[in-house]
Amino acid sequence: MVEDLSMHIADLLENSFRAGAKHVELRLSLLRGTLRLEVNDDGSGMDGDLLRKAADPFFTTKRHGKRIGLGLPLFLQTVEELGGTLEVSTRPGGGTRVRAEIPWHHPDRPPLGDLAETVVPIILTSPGVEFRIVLEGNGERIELDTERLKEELGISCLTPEAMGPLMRMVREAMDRVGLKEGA
Amino acid sequence: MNAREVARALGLEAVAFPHPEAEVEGGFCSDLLSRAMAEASPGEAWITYQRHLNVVAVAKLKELSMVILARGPEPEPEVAARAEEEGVNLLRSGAGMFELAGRLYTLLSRGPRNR
Repeated sequence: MVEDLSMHIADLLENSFRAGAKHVELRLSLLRGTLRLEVNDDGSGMDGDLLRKAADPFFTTKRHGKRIGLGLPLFLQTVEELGGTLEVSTRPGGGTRVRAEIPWHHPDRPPLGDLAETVVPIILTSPGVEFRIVLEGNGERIELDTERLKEELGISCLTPEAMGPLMRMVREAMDRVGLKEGA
Repeated sequence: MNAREVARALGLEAVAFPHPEAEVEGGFCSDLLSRAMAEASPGEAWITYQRHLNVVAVAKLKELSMVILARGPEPEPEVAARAEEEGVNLLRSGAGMFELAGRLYTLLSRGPRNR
């Protein structure tokens, strides 16, 4: 188990970048006591053999450092320990979708953590990757799209100055859909 | 003090013990793997209730001297086999984490450097 679920989100996003994704979508919904967490990307995808190995903590596609790849195995462990489900849909050249369903009220569920602080720095340090964040809950559905945001602001890339406003947008959205904890 | 001496002093049962000569330089307690990844130091003995294969991977990543599984069920055979294969010392005890931590702390405090 890890300290908060946003650490898993950061790991999943890192996997998408490593797969060369140019479009990444993060979906979080809280419906009927279940948190659905989904990351979709248009990266290189995996074949059956690679997908089987992805759940092994002693396997990694990283070329440097220790040959340990804990991103997906740790997420799988968290989901299993909470009695949830995890599905990975992928094909070579066709992107990857990781979708987990987690019981929100399980006593051992790690807190969601600060999603804004996790995701916004990743967005700002990933030029050339477009992000879409979809949040659902409390009867609301909110979409934050970096492509649309840049069009509205008339800019070609998001600069560090966007950090504050983006963090506020994510936090407000989390609050509206009922995903903000500890407030 | 090495892992074999610690195992003997604490009455630990070996699940996988490929490096009994590993020097135990301290201890660390946590069931949060993220906390172990962030804070455990090489050479430390990690006491945990967790039995997942990921524990073995974290212990290897952090170059820990041994993992001590506190009171609980036996780990799955695959976990024992992978610990052996990956060179991670994995031992278990019938004692709880609190007791193990206290006994290990006392044991290491009596080591040559602390006399």
